[in-house]
Amino acid sequence: MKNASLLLVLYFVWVSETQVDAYLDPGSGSMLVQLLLGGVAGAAVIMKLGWERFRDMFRSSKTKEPETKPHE
Amino acid sequence: MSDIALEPGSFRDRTARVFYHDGKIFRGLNDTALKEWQALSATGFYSRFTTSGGIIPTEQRALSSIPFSPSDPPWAAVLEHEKLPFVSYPYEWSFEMLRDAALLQLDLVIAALEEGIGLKDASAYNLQWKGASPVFVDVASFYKRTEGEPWVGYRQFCQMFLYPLLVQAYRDVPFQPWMRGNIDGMDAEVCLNMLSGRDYLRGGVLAHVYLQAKAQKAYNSTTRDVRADLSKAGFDKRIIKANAVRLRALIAGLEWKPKQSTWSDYLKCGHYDASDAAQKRDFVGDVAASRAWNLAWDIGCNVGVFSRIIAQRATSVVAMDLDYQAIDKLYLALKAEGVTNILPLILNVTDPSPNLGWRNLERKRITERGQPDLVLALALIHHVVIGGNIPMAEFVQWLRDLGGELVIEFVTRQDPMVVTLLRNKDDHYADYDEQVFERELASRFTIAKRQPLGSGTRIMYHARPISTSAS
Repeated sequence: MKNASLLLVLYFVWVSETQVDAYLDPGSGSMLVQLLLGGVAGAAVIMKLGWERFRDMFRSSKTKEPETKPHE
Repeated sequence: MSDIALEPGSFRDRTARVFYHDGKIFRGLNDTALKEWQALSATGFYSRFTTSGGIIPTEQRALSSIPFSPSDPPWAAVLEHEKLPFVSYPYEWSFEMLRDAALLQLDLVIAALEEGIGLKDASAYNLQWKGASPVFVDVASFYKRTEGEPWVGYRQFCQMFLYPLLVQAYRDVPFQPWMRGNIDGMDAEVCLNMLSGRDYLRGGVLAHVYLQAKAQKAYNSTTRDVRADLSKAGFDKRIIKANAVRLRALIAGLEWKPKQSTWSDYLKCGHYDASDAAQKRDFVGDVAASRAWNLAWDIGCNVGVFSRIIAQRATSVVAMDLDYQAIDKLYLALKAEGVTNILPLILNVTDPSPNLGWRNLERKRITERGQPDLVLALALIHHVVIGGNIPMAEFVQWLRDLGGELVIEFVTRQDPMVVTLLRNKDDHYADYDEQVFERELASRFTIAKRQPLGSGTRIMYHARPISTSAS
């Protein structure tokens, strides 16, 4: 589970690498990475957020979506 | 007029500030910080860590006991901290020291979490040393966390502890110049650039370095409130704990395998005549025993033979050397022996720690952190004058400016070490001469004792500073 999520995130990070390098938010990326390092509890939050949502968070500068509630 | 001096490096956290009064160290708290302090001081982990030495002993004092002036901030409460013998910074610590400081920081994160307390930052400057034991000094870092919050200090922990340790362990790149060069530590991107492709397979690199660097970059222009999103999705403390526990194991398992260092086998390699070494120990021992000392510096301490002699009579000793490995070895030995009054630090005397940070006042230069009353400069002068190209007179003046008594060893031109140092250089060191040295010394100090060592190429001096009108 952990490894699968890591690979998926790696994929989306690679996909989003071409984005413009602007002001660095001091912790948003780091907060998301914490989920991956948080064992089962972190994976549960990733699942709750939903893969699409989690992916969008990493790609958010490209795709500005309206706020949606986390998948229940 | 208030005789309260604000600590110029204590400004980032607006809820509290360190200040000095009457030779003591205090921390003013505003209303918010006072509530956090009350919550913290009621916890079990705070008592445990304070008792074991992991958190600085702290007492709340009556506001009325401090003669505040109207221009001082209106604090809600004041804490007094135990005063440490000498303040030091991460760029003066060895690998093993930064590792132990990191482990203490993580232990605090984990223990605090169990009692609903978080840490709002993870700065390596929040740790200091009592001898060879790390101690956490910024009690205003603790706050009562609300469930759903991520670990706020994670990124800073990586920048100030993890990345510096990783580059030294994996790449043999000393972290100290990087830490001295950037008050915020090392960025994920910089760390990543220093690692090689095969390092990606090593512990911590893929997630903490690579992913974090890329996530920070990818996320730089988002309009989302990630913190709120994560809180809604149920980010809980088990995530922080799992991360901190894994970081702890990673850091505890790191190994730095340096190539042979210049000095750490210096004594073993027989640069010293055995009888010279014994005479030197006796000479230093006699000076040490001549009176009580408050703070002694041993500059160029190597593995600390003479620091230990002085430490028998000095309240505290700062043992300094430019060699990373020598300081690492000394630190590990002191830690194993439980020596509590010798602080080992990395320092290059020809390029000592400067004033750094905001207004150049945030971190103090080494000479502003407490005046030594005794200075050892043994087997050092040839490295400074010939190796470091520092003029003899300037070096002696620098020693005089330190203000303490001096034990110095002059190494003559006939000594094999001096011959080696001069072998590949043009000899433009006319001032590197016994007579010049004695003249420069005698113009600033009273020479209390002079003793040539048995080898005939080294001379020991005990000198007391001559008072000047300015001092």
